[in-house]
Amino acid sequence: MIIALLLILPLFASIFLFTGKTGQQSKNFAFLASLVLFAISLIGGYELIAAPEKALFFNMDLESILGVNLLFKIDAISIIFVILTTLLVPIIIASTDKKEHRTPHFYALIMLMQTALIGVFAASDMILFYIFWELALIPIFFITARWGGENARKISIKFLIYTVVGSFFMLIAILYLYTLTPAPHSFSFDSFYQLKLSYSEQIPLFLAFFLAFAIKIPLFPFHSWQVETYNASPVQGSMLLAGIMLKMGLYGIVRFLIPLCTDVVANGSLIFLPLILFGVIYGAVIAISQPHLKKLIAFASLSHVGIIALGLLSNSRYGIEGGILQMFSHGVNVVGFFLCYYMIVKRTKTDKISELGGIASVAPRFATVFMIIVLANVALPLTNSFVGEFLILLGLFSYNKILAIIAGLTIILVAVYMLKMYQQIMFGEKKASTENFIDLTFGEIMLFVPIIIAIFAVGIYPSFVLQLLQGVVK
Amino acid sequence: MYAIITISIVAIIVLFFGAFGKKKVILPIIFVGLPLAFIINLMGWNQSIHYFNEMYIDDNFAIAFNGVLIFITMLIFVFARVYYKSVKRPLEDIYALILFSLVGGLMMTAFGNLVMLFLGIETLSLSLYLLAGSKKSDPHSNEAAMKYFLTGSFASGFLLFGIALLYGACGSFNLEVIKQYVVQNQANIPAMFTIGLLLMAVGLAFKVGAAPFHFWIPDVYEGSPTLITTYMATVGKVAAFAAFFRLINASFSEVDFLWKTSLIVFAVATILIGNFAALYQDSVKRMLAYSGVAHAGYMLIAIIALKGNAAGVLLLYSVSYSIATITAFAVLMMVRKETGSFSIKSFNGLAKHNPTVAFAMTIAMLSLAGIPPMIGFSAKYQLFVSAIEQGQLPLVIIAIIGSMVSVYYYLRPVVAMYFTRSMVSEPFEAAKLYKKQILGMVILLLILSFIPGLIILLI
Repeated sequence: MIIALLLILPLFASIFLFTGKTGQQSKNFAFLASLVLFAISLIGGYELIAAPEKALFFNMDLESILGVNLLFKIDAISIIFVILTTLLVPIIIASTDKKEHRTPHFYALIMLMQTALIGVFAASDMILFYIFWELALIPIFFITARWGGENARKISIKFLIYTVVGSFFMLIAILYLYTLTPAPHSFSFDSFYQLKLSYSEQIPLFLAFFLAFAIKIPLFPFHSWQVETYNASPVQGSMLLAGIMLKMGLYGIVRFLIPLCTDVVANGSLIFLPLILFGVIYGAVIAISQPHLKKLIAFASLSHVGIIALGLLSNSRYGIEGGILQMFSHGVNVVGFFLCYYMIVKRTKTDKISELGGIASVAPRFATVFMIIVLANVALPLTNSFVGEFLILLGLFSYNKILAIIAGLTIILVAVYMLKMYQQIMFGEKKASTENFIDLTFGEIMLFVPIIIAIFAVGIYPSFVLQLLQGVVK
Repeated sequence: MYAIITISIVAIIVLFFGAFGKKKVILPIIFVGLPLAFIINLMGWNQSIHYFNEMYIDDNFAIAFNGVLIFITMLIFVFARVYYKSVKRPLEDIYALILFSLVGGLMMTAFGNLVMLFLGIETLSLSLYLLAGSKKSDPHSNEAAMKYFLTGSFASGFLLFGIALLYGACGSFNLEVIKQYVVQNQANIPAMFTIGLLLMAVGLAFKVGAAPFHFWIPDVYEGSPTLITTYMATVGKVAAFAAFFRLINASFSEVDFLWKTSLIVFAVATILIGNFAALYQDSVKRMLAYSGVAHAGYMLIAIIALKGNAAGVLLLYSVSYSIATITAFAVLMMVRKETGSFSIKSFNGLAKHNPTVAFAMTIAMLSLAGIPPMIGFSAKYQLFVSAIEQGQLPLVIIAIIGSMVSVYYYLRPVVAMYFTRSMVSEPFEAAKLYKKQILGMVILLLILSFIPGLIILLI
């Protein structure tokens, strides 16, 4: 029931918005719909916390009509991402400035995107998963290309082709798995989990899945679409991409790569982990010298998701748990970061760090909020990232000490570029663009409140999430 | 069988009224006659009647494909009404030829005898040769007709030669007898039989537009009047595939070692050539022609993976391909009418003033590219599943690579429509004419996207 509502509501909201009947009220309508969804997903979360081993099911055998089996299952891992989605989408919608006059289609696309994302996290049938995975591309493509900045058209096409290529590899892997299932063949996750794949069967599977997910996450060296797309997208598009959509790839690793290719993950990761680790350092080093704030966020994000992938592939329980927790935290933090960026750009019309300065003296409220988000990104204790990164490093340490030490060092790099950026933007002398920087209004503060709550709630009391995960992570 | 008779009678009535210059009644007659034929066709469901010493077999396969063919033709006539709106002439010749060629198509799906197959193909092709040249004042149209006729009759020659050799080996034209011959002589198939089979495969590969016999497609598709191109690309292709499938399925499924390798080579070449050539087209019409070539490659996979539920898959693929292609060509007709060009530049900024049309084109392109949740995806995925179950993983991988490539060229019109600034500042005049019909096509496409299971389990 909850699953059906979670999928149908945003879809209908999207269709209704597409008709254009909502006119000026489009933003309010979309915001309201997404809030209702958030409430519904919280109810689902409550049910799962009460009984973490159970899962919410939705099963409707429509194979004779739809050609696919409508099989959805939300377990403890899924619910975290469903809640992440439903938590962030209202913030993203509400952040849109009235002055920008977005047409109803903009909100319709966001709602469609939400449908697809929830579908990805809730699907329990491979073909459904693939359908939603691809469906999520279409709205973000149009959002980027239509409302994006310079060169948005070319970049969005590059992004689309990159990810479509990746997902076709996944399609091959899915079809290959399908043939391995005992007759009558099936696409359901459960039938895949029951397979006992030999090592030689796992290798091609791992490669195809890894490629698909690595492009989506993105991991080094498949990241070249990411920075450009973030940069060209409107800020709401960047939030959707960085906050939620990239989690699709990481979610795929949790769902498929780890359970299906256990042996390859256990033995072969030493080939992949150094490459990912290199990407982590690469992203962080480039972020240090980025002149533009938005690009800095993009490279920082590249570095952060790399660490998550390291944790997930470290083949240890702590690493996986930490990775999942960190996926949630990163979604919240990066959206908060983009919101701060948006506040600055809205007021000063520039995101060049060298043209900014001294904002803290004119806008103390903004300085506080920004500080919290920066510290959450740096993974200070008591913030959400700390728990996740700590667990990831713990897991990585049990896997390989050298890798863990190098990965631990990157935390210093994060602190370097984050604090340097904060210091340059917020302190120092006021520049022409920041002379009349207006502090946050009440409405804008309300945008940050849920993010800050999420940062501290997970940071101070992570065990309710971890308990949820314990039943599922094996 | 009775559907064929109905359609023939309708065509003759159309000719009569045309001769007396009664333009207004012609299309209404067709719109009554074709649904009638559709219903009559469906009445034979599950009865599997054999007519004329098994010349014509009305089994469920034939009825399903005939239903699709008649339905597509109806859609073509819906657009014929607007396409020929400014023409004063009654046009009874063109309409009657379309109907006669449809009769040929219906024979091709239901033949039980090689002679009947040849008859069907010739009925379809001869009408199409004429239709390709139906825009008499246009040199391109004449060129298309000439090219089509010369190459097409050459292919018919191959087909006929193949039939003759098969007859020499088996002593019968009857599919059932040929099958018995194959089962009995599986171990020592004579060379004459093999050569005959391959010659037939070449002739049919030409008709479906598979590489390396696809060279006529871009030129003929481009030169013919767009409405006729739509008809050729849908009815012509679907009928030829149904015939191909029926031939292989009815008689040669036991000796797949004879034809499988060649068909795999055809399929791989078709998918790669079609998709890569489409990348470099500036004319949308030519791009759609090459896309038709590429889709022929995918449909060949259904024949190669014969033993699964390949008939249902082929039906689903035919429906998905045809409906999306008609939608795309309808938009193209409208754009051409307004701008006088087929080039991709004429799509620039279409979305701003004609959002419905742009939306329709987008949906059609996404469906052709096989992006979920459009029907094109369901069709492709069912196809790949049935091929993989038959152990054709490498072929599927090539097909998927082809699909990846196709995303790029299918998106070009979408990008042009939505993100490129246009020269025109007001809605197209022609949009008023086409809007309702195109909207209808989109709704049809979206509805079909939700019921692929119904289509695939039909036969």
